[in-house]
Amino acid sequence: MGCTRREFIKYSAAMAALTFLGYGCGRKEAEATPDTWVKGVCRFCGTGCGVMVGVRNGKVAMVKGDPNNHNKGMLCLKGALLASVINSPDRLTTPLIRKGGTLVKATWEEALDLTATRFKQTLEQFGPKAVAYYGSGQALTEESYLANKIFKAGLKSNNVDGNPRLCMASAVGGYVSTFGKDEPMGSYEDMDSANCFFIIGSNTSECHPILFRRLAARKQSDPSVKIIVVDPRLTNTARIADLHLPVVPGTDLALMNAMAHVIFNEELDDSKFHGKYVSFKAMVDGKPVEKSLEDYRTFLADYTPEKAAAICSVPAESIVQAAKLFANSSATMSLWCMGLNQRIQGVWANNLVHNLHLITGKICKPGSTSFSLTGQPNACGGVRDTGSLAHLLPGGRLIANQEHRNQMEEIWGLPKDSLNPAPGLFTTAMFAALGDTVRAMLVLCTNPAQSLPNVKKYTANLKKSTKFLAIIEAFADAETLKYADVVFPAAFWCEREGVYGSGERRYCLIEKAVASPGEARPSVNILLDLATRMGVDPKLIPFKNSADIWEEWREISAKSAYNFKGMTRERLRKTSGLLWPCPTEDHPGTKIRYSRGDDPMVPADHPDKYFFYGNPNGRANVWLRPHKPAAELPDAEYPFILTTGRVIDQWHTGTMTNKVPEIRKAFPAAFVEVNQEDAKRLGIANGDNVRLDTRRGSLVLSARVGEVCRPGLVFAPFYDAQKLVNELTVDAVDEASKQPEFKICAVRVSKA
Amino acid sequence: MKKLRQFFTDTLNQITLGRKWLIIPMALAVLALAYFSYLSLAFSGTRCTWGQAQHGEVTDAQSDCYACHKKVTPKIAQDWNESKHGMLLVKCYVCHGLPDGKGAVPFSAKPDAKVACQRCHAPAIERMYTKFGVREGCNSCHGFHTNSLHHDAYAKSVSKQKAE
Amino acid sequence: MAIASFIIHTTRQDLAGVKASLSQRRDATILPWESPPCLVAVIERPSKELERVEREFKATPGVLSVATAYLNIEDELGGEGAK
Ligand code: SF4
Repeated sequence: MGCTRREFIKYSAAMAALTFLGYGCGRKEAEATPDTWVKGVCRFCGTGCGVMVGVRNGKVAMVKGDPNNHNKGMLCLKGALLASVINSPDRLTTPLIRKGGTLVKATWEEALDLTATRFKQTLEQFGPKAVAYYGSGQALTEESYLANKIFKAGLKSNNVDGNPRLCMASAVGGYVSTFGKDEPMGSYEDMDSANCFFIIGSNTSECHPILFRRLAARKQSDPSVKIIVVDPRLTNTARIADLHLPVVPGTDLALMNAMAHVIFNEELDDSKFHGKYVSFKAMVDGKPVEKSLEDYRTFLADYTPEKAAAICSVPAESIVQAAKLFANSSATMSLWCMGLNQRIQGVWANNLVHNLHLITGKICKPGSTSFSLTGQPNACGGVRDTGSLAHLLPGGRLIANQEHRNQMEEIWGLPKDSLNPAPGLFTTAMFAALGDTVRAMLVLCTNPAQSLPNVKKYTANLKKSTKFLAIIEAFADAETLKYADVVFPAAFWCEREGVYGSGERRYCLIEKAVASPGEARPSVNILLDLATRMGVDPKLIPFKNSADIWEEWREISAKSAYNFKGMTRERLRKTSGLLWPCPTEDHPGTKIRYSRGDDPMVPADHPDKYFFYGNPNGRANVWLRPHKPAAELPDAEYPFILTTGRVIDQWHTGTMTNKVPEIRKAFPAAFVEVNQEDAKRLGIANGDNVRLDTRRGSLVLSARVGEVCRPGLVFAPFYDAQKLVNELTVDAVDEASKQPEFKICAVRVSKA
Repeated sequence: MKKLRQFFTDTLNQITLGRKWLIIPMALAVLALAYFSYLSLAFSGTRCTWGQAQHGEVTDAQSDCYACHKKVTPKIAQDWNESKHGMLLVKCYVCHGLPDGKGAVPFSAKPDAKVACQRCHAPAIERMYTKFGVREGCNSCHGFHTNSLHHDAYAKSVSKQKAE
Repeated sequence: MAIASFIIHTTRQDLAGVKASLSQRRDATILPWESPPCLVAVIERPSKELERVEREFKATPGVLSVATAYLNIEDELGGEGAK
């Protein structure tokens, strides 16, 4: 065509540029202006940020923050990148059945029939104790409520547990033992009026970024706001701290008792408050016993700041300073998360935070509250409130309590005393019994093969041929798929409608924005189909969709302190979430519980301002809890402490966040953080391969040397399916909450 | 030159007609060559090399943008680190995408404010719009990397709050 | 002489204006592109001047960013290494 060499080069030059633009076109499409915006909630953490899902041509084009929700339009990086998770090609689109060792495509009929038959056979042969359901704090409230009802009321099996056992159980134990009712009394709004933040065992900045933003903004607005961070790591959260206490992991009980000691010693306690609203208690021979203020002070006498300083390995002055900041501020808010919960003293540690608030009267007032942060988006609303755990019934009722059982029997229209009176198996016990006494299990919306502690022990059971495992899952690369006999493809996030309940008792409706890919179906419908085929009484499950289930659950809630009868579907559709209690349709929701005038559950004519109606005497309990060490302490053979956790980019087991190219590349593989002094001693340089050995397993990870971990501590994140950090963790559990101690185990560190 | 121009226009038409696939294999070959010469010219260390073929699959755990940009664009990186966005860990890729262009966010040194800012700041953009009308980008007044937790814009907003 | 191509990003409103001002250059072939709104400039100049040209592009009103897409400097080497 007769073009000169120079022209050819120019042509190439233009082509090179146009090729780039070709890429540009593809990208532009994804970011194109959406046609419609649909309201929802972020799929990731328990902060529960409101989102607006931008839909274009039936696809999610963009996600932005909901300006009317508590996050005021803000999203952290995970929330902002949600669109590529839901558009991921790695979705399950047909049911799968394991045949000859591999999962092969099957029809819905085959998969449902096989699962129902196996469950029915198991029930006939071994009874209700042999079937189990393992749920999730990421399932919709309707899904958890329905599964709970199917198993407990329909199949008479109390083996209903879920991953909140790994995450929230100790917080539940703490709230229930102190206040008699679960869930925080405050809300996120308290952050705007608190003058002191006591953050213990939480890397808020990476795990609840939008809440961190709110408290950073609070500090910016008023430089006199003080932030105390108790964390063995120098996390990003500690960057804005006025006081950082890098305590030895597992010594926070001593720390908080010493803070209480200082508060009384300096007469910073509020005797008017604790004299009127608090009773002191201790466990004696396994039974709760009334104690007096004097007993408590005698008990605390043992916890001088000096003694605690030696245990925690922080200066005694810092402990005194922390106590004074806590008690002297006009409003103090405590925030904690897995650092306190994932511990064998988890419930006790929770009690001790509540103690500090109760003795200083910094509770149930704007800005003064003890607030447990939640890891999953619907652990509170979905699992805790619906009672989808092995020892619970809906609305804070206990299986072990006959009166509670009878109430539920009446509500559900069952014959009296027909519910199984024996609590079921909690998570680790359930997986320990799998293939043995538990023969058939249904897993919904969670990835236990990666998230259980000491995971090899449990995957050994998952491999057993004597077990039957059916899972309802959205993503094709979840670790647990490897062990499943049947896999049901689930509609994900805004592909179906339902309610999420975030950490502040806020219930929000996720509306359906797009269709699910392939044959994937909403989990509610999968559960209903399974239940019907298993022969569950149709009167128990007269539902067609999640809205029907919500109606029933809303009605039932009116008969408990979780009353949210006023939250009709219509109302949830119009608002960006409401906080319970919310008994009537014109009730605006409750920001502060237990306070007359705020909480509708406290009678308007109650003689006292505060009323802890969860406890029979109307008072909150201050517990005398001695310091006790972790289950596995470092010794000569395993001299370091290993702690696990998250990074801001990746969420939990990474099945969702790894779908985002940006995140996958920023954090492709697990790593281990080592303190620089320890590293020098061991001859480890940044980026070296480091071998971690615990009594349960070993792993080689690349090292990040720095000052984040305190000396003697190493940290590894658990998102990486190729390097299962949970093969190293210990599965000792809290006696009361049965939550495992992910956060502390002994480890040997060496250069690989 | 006229002939060349005609040729380009034809090609362009072809592409816009959707027959892009005809050109792509050819262009890709050219692209590889182009990349080499581009890199060999070495506009030097200030250019990001992450998009290079051999860095396509990043396995080094240290390879987030900041770790490298601390060295190659120290001022920008440090500004970010100390800004609100840095404090709150709104990381580079949230607005800039990935240099290899394969990310969920379009790669750009100057992200389109209308898309990037909107994800979080839609209410603020709306407010600004009603107050001042359209403005090109947000950065001319609100530095993406320099809006620190301590800067005085805040003081202004406090006084505003009080005045209200 | 070196031959290079640049991608010049702009906004939809400014596309025509930027095209008009760049078309005045005698050393460049300018091709507009609708979505995303940008232009491709093929330019023939000694390589030493290219960075200046890039700056000139950047300084043009309405231009958001400029990216180098292609560069060939063979001709400048004058057959070096051939013998
Ligand atoms: S803070 Fe949590 S809920 Fe909010 S956007 Fe980020 S991951 Fe989602």
